[in-house]
Formats: sequence, C-alpha cells, structure tokens
Amino acid sequence: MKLSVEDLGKQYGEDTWGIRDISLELDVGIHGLLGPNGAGKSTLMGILSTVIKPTTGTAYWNGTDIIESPEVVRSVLGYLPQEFGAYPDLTLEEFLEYVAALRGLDKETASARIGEMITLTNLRDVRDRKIKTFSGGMRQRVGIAQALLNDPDLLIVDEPTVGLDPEERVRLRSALANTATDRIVLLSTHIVPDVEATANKLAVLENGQLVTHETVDHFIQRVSERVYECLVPRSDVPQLREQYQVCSTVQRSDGVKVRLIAETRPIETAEQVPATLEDAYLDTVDHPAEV
Amino acid sequence: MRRAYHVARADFLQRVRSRRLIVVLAIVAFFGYLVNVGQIELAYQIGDGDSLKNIQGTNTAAFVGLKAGMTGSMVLLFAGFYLMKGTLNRDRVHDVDRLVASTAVPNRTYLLGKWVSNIGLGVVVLVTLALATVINHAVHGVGPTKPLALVGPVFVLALPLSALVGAVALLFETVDRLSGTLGNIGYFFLATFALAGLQSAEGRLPSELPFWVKSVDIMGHLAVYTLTADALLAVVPDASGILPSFGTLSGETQMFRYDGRPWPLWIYIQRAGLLLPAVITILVATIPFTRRPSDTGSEDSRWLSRLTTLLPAVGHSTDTNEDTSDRVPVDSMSLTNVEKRETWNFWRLVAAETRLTVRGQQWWWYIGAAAFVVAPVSILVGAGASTRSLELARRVLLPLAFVWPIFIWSELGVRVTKHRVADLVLSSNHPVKQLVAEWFAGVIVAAGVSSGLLTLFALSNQTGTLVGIASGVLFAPSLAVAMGMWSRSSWLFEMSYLLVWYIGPLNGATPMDFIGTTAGSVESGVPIVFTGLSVILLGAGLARRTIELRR
Repeated sequence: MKLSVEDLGKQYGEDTWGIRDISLELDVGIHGLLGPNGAGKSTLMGILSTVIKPTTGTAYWNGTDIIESPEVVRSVLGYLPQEFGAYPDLTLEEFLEYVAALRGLDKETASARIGEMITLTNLRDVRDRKIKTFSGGMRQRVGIAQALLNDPDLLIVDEPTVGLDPEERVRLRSALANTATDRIVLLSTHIVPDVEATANKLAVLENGQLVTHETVDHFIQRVSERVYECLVPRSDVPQLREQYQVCSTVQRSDGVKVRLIAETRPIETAEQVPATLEDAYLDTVDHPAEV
Repeated sequence: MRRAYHVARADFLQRVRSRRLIVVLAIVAFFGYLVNVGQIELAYQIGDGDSLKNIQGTNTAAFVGLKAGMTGSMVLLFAGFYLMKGTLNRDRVHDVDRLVASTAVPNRTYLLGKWVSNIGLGVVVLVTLALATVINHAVHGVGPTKPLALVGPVFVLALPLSALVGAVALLFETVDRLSGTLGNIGYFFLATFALAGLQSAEGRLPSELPFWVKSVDIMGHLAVYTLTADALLAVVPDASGILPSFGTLSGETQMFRYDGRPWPLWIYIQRAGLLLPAVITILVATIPFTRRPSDTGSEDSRWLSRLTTLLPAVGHSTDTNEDTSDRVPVDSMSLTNVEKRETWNFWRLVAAETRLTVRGQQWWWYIGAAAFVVAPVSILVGAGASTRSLELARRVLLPLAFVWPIFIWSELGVRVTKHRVADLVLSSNHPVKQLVAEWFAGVIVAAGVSSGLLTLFALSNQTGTLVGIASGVLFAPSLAVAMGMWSRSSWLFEMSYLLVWYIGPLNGATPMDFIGTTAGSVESGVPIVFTGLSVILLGAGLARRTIELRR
C-alpha cells in the first residue's frame, strides 16, 4: 500500500501557487502534515482526495496515476475536509446511510459499520436526532464517523480535532492510532501535540513547498541538545527573542520562564531540556532546512 | 449614519466582487443592445381583425431612453428581488451576523445599511443598462445620440423602483416563512398583481387619469403613455386610451416619431413617492427581524417529515445500545472489516437522494402534495371522468401540480454546495452519477405529485395530456439541475421556471405550454420539444459536474 506524489503543484493565479514541486512517498502509518496557515496543507489534501486537480505533477496509488484514474483512490478513500458539512434535516444515522451509499458499501456492511462508527465517535445518544441540532464538536465527530465509515485504505483528515473537547481529542487520537496499523492516514492539523501523540512520520509544508518528510523521532533529533529553559526578568525577554528562537514563555511571580532553542547555553542559569516536536517544528518553519 | 454606511459598504463590496454579478451585468448590457435594435419594443397595440397592429416609435434617443427606462423597471421588478435577496443570509452563512449581533448597532441601522446596499446593486444594474443603451444608440439608433435623453428615463423610472424592490426583498428575508422558495413564488405573483392596477387606466386620455391610478404605476407605463400620447395620436388619431405594451412584440407595425418633450412634474413626484412605501417596508421589516435566528426547524413539520423515513433505508443499523451514554473504550472495540467497496447500486442512491429531497418541508406542503394525488382519483371514483371534469383537471389541477413541487426542485443541483457536502460527493466513487440520482429524485417527486392526474388521464385515454405530463416530469427537474449547478443558487431556477410556467401552463401560451394544458400545445408538439430540451438541460448540469471534477 503506497501513495506517492511527484512534483505536484497547484497554481491559483498568475503568480500564486497553493503548492509547488512537492514529491513524497507515504506508506502504511500515520503521516502528520504540519505547516503555518496558507502553507498548502488543504490544497495537498484536496488533490490527494481527488477533489482538486493539480496544475503540475501527479500522484500514484499503488502505482496507478490517480489524476488520470481518480476512481482508483476514491473507492478506498475516507475524507474529512476542513469545511465539513452535512445535511441538517437528516438524522445522524440517515446521513451515514447516505454516505454509505455514496461510498459503495453493501447494506449489511453499511449497517454494521454505521453502528460501530456511532459508538466509536460516542454519538449513540443522538443517532436519531437531526444533525441541525448538533453542537460544533458533535458535527466534527459526524465528520470523523463518515470518514472512517468505509474502512478506508487511505484516510485523509483535515483538522479533525478542531472543536473537540480534550477527552474526545484523546479518544480520536487512539482511534486513529488503532486504525492506522494497516492503512495510510494523512493527518493535517495545527495542534502539534496531536501529531506527536499519533504520527509515525511527519511532513512539514511552508509557502507551498515541502520542507521535510521524515520520522517524528528524526525530526525531533534536529533540535536535541539545543533546547533550554531559563528564568529571566521580564525585561530580558525581548532581547532573548531577538537572539534565539523562543518556543514558549510562562509568566511567573519571580520572572518569566523562557523555553528557547540555542546552539550553546544562552545564559549561565539556563538548563538543557528534552526537545519536543513543537520545538523542532518552530525551529524548522522559521529556518527551513534543506531537503 | 456612519454605522449604516459601513454595513452598506461592506455588503456592497462583497456583492460587486462576485462572478455572478458579472454575468447579470452582461445580460443587462445585452438588454441595452436589444432595446436599440427593436428586439425589446414599446408599442401601442390596436386590434386589426384577428391580428394586432403595433404602433411604435422610431429609435430616436428620446424614445429609446423610454424603452430603456421601462426595461430597467422590468428587470428590477422581476429579477431585482431575486438579485437583492440574500443580503441577510450572506451574513448568516459567513457568520458575520454573530459579529453584528454582539455590537450595539440598532436593528434599524443594520437594516438601513442592507437596504442601501440593495439600492446600490440596483444602481450598478441601471448604470450598466444606461451605458449599454448610449453606446448601442450611437451604433444602431436613429438621429443624434443624446446621453441625457437616453440615461434620464432609466434613473427616473427605475431607480425609485429599485428602492422599493430592495425594501421588499429585505422584508421577505426577515420573515422566516418568506425567506425561502415560498417567498420567491409569492413575490413573483405579487409583482404580477402589482401591474394589475394599470387596467383602471385603460380607455382614458393622459389628462383624464386620476391621481390614485397614477400613484400605483409601478413600472412607469403611465409616464410613458403621458409623454408619447401626442406623438401617437398624431399618427393614429383613434388610438386614444390604449396603454403601451412592452416586450418582444410581433405583428404588423406602424411607426410614430417621439423626439422628447418636457416631463410633467407629477411623474417626478410619483416616482419619488415610491420611496414612501419603501421606507415603511423597511420599518415593518424591523419587527420580524431577529439578529440570530434559531437553526432548528419548526416543530410542526417534524411529525410529517418523519413519514419520509418510510422510504427504504440504504442500510439499517442493528446496534441497539442506544440508551447508554457510557463511552466504549476505543481499544476494546472490534470493527467490521469492509471487504467490498464496489457494491455501488444506483437505485439505492436514488432512494437515498429521494429521501433527502422530500425531507424538511413544511407540513402544508405534504398535505398539498397528497391532495394533488387524491383529487384526480376522487374525480374518477365519484362523478366519473366527464369532459367537463377532465377539462377542469387539465386547466386547473395540472398547472398547479407542476408548480407545487418547486419547493423540492429548487434544491436540485444546489443542495450539495449549500450544505458544504461538495467535497464529500466529489471524492466519492461516482460523483457524476450522484447528480443523475439527484435528478431522478426530482423526477420521482414530479411523477409522484402528478400520479393522480396520470391515472385520471390514462384511464380516460387522453394520450396527448399524458405526453405533456411526461414532458413536465422531465423538464422541471432538468431545468432545476442545470440552473442550480451553473448558478449555485436556487433563485435562477425559481425565477425562470415560474416565468415559463406562468406564461405557458397557467396562461395557455402555446409555445411555452410544456405540460400540454392546451390542445394546441399538444398538437404542435410543444411537450416533445421540451422533452428534448430536458435532455440538453440535464446534459448541461452533468457537464458542470464534470468541470467541477477538473477544477
């Protein structure tokens, strides 16, 4: 099972490219897709889900060109778009029945999967309620349920945890981790801890271009032994921001606790701490590495 | 006032930057061409035996200006409402209404801003028409091109109407029941009836027109009549008391020349007077207006919409653990493996689309639909299919049965975009066939509502009418799919379908009578032509879906 992308580009205006020259290979597992706003994540996902046609390049599903033959990937695809909508006058169960019909599931399988997805997304109490009565978080869970409904070989989810409470977020992470053992999951999010908790590999986009695609551990290695924490007076923070990549600041009664990335110990009192994905990500998008 | 200005400005800018407006303005500019080349004509029609004789002006700047003014009025009266409507809904769709609701902007100020934006849109339409009229007169017109004579009537006649239509559109949007298809249909009839007051002016000379008759002149017919009557009577002395007709006219023609004359004061006062009902309408609109309407549907429609659950389910879950809110641990769940994802069945999708199509209507719609099925059958069971009852069914029930499902059809081709399900559908296994299934659902509804009539005419051996019904069953959903797919909104279908339905089936104009309510229509093969047109329209809708897949 493999999804590969070659020199993919999408041009929107004369000088505007959503993404450009992207090549990568995705195999079984969860691939986190990170990048700032406007980096091209949704465009890339739109192309891989066959909703958007690329301007240049192509993509292959198990060796078959999905731009030429989109039906190859559509039959195995689960997709949660960023702006997910559902028919408000249908009940949850009716809407999933509709999606099952669109996705080509037979009656028996659809019946079983609908029940399971409703349970998985913890929506059993509202299965007979019209979707227009759902909260934002519940609607998002409907989106997740429909994306997983056909037991897809390729699952593309764009910002799936937006609007979910912490408990539901953790539950979704577990669900994704469990289902990713025998399929390809492409997970786009701004929430770095979601990627850290679930993804095997990570792709970072910036300004429409691929900055890196590697394992999460490798990615974190980029900043290992370069992450420091120190307590400084409030007045010193601007100077530190100028000199270093500051990852976070925490206000305290005795000053400001600063987490930063530096080649050498920035001040005497600074302590080296274990690096996280967020540290590596902030270091990367500010200082793009050579691919 | 500053707040109202900014509400109007933001709304106006959002509007003028849409592609839809460019298409509308292109059509309006085309009208500017048509009035100059005689395709849109203003004429006095006099009976001449079995035919009508059109007495019309030569295309001098003054006369073309009047024609352009009437064109502007007609465009704004009939299409302006549908163009202007949506200003409040746009804020709802983009969640701007939440922002506004949290500010101290009074409702009156907000609606005033929206009204000004509506008028602004009307001005853009009229400026386009005026420019096109001047340019085309320079090329095709008779005599010198006088810009003021060409442009003046456009704004004097049509601009006040823009204010009135803009206010009515806003009022309809503030009333929940009128904000959708029901309101669109209602407005069409309201606009048509608004012209009925002109009948009181028939047979009178301009100087004999009472004030109240002048005051209800919506489009400016009486102003044109007053201005051109002398020129007309100079050519045809016995043409007094005939009001001008406007549109695409055929028949023998005779020309008169109108080079302009000073406009009587009452015309300016009457046109400006249209602002009064407009302002009253805006004030009335503040009463039903709610800043953040509830998203939930009306309670009274629920029990009937539940009836639609009787339609075959695509797949029915057997999970019965509905009464527990305990979360099942994800790790302990065993999920069914999906082995086959290619068991796609077109008819299952049609069933799903049909259920989706008939959900969410008001209770009275279902009652009405049932009545259209039962009434013809009761004719058969009761008095029997006499010639009189068949004629009654053909002239009354049949046209009504083909306007009732407009509430359903108007969603076709639009629903996927409206509810942001497009990405889901476009990434599914058969995105083009989904649209065919959606169209089929519209056909099923049409056939269902007219099934009683089909039975009646089939058992009465009325083959011609059966062909007409078949044509209607295919044509209406096809037009809806085509218009919906290309315009991404319902209004274009609602407006165009109502127009065809009003002229053809309701008023019996043979070339437009696609359901064969008149014998002439069936004999001349009009339903067959519309059946062919249905195929083209469906093809246009499917072509749009194919383009969407290549975006």
